[in-house]
Amino acid sequence: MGLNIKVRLFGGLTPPKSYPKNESNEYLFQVEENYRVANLIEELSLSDKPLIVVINGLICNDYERAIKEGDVISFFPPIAGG
Amino acid sequence: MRKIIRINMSAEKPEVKEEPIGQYERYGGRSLTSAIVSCEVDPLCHPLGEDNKFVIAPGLLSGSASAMSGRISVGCKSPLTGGIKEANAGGQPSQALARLGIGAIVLEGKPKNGDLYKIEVSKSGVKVIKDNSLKMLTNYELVEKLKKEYGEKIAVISIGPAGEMKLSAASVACTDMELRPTRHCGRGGVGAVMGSKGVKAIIIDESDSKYLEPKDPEAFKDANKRFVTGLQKHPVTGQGLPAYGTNVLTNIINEVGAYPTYNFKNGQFAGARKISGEVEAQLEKERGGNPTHGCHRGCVIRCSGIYHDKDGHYLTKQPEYETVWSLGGNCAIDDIDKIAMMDFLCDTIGLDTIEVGVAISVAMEAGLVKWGDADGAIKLLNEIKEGTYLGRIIGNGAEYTGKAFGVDRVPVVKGQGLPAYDPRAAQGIGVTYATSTMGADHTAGYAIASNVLKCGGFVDPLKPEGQVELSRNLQIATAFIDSTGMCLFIAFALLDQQDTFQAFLDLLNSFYGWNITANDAIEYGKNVLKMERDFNIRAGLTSQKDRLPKFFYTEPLPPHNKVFMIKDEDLDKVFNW
Ligand code: SF4
Repeated sequence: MGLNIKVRLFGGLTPPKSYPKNESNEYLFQVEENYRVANLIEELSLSDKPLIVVINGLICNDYERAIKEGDVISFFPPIAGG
Repeated sequence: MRKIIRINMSAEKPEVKEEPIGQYERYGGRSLTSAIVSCEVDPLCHPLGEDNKFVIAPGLLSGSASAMSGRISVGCKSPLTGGIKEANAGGQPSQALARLGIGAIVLEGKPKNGDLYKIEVSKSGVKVIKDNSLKMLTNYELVEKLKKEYGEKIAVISIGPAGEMKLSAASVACTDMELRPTRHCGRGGVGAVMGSKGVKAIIIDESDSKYLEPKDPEAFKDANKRFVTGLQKHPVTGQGLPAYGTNVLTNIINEVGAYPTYNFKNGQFAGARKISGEVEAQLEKERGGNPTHGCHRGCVIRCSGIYHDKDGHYLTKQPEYETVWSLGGNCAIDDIDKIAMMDFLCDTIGLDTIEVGVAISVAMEAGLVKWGDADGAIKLLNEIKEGTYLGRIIGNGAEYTGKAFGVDRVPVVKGQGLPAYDPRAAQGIGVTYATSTMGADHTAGYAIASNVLKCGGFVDPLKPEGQVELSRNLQIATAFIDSTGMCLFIAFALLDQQDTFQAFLDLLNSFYGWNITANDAIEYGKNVLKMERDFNIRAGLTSQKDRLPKFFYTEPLPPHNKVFMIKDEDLDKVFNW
């Protein structure tokens, strides 16, 4: 059984290929146990980019974190304002 | 040698005096407005009375060929907070004034008879002219009229009807490169103080303005090159801000649950995506506007933009993140075109979008208008323009509105409305809101940089640890940057890139023949804060005022369900360095 997660891309980040999406523009992924944030970054071809990663509303600094069922993972390029 | 222009508005015929900058020589921008207010204004005076002074000061590097140096500061005792106030903006006036050798214009006294004046500033001097035909013109109408009279080679500093009515949310408008009154010294009711001096507009002749000569032109040129390269290579100042502007924050602040909505009841707004910077930029492109635009000549970041309506006509400049939040998300409004219309209305009436948006959300909490009712909010803004009693209540800000309608959840510090980040989900910005000399002000120590955006390191936004130090260091650095005329957005690159910070110092050193180090910059910033704190304490704003409203300590904010956790005794340590 895979783990179902949702991925949101912001700030001009685009996926390298097409993935299934829901009506809220979230990409729907099914991944294996022990799949890491780093694996997802690689899958999305974002490895060479500086990123801000938010998982379930919390900023994630540990890309070795294992992904869990139901995670909502958002990716942002470096941005700021004020 | 820069000069100070003092204008006594109490005299039958306002008197203009010119004097050397003298004791204020090392100051510019915020340090200059704060030094003059702190040394010369009675802290117990009425902010709208003749003893208050209204100071306009270009930054230290304004007028030079340095990139990013076009910020202007205005300062006074604030009618909103009762403390010292500095508010700054971009646009063209800063460079124009500085190139005429002007370090500051100080409006003093108060006309006795309700007449309205305009001030002409050019190479041939400064003239104060009575012009009651300008009464109650909106900023856009005013600038159109002035263009006919003076041509297009001018920069204008002005107030709209809100400033003339001396409302505490009134702003001071500065014209941009297209000669539109879109860049505002927004906060603290500075427009009301300009209005109390009877001055509607300052018209600065830009027709033959030349860059100021640095002391060491070669070193200056080299420093500017390194500085610009540094800004362009940093992903935020080189890519993120130019592409989407400040409103690129909506999605991330919402994702991390720090996006206040329904008057600070929730940390996430369902409609956030619809009003995000990504959507704004897309619409601007589709409708023939422009998402990448500088607010003044010499800006290389260009976070600003031009927003067109559905028919492709100019509506307003690209609404900033704070505006889209205050008049949008916080009021549960998710219609970006209506928010852009409100941005235009605020610019033309001369209102601080943050203060008035927070006031409208308080009015919504009182049941005056329904949550999400954009037309109701637009009607309130038009009431301000008309000067109805209700309009005047809203136009005096969130605290005043809360009192008028018996609301007990009023998000203000020192009377000033909280901006677009909830301090329960970004504890560092709460420290800044509570302790800033300006009242609740995000720019005074932008802890979001490290709490959320990972600029200058990372400090966990949901824990109290490290927040006091973070806010302290940012408040000090900001006080320095705000004095130089540089846009604060350079800080994102300075925080991460030592060589860009050095290039920034080298610009100052080569321009003035100084030799300041990073440590001197820190001491400089501390000195600015010390002058401001000292004024505030003499005005009665003691440490008991350095607190957030109680509900932030007791009402947990969804989705993280945290309260503000920084202890009072720790807040009192912010200025112990
Ligand atoms: S970065 Fe934005 S606010 Fe700063 S000077 Fe440029 S356009 Fe103006």
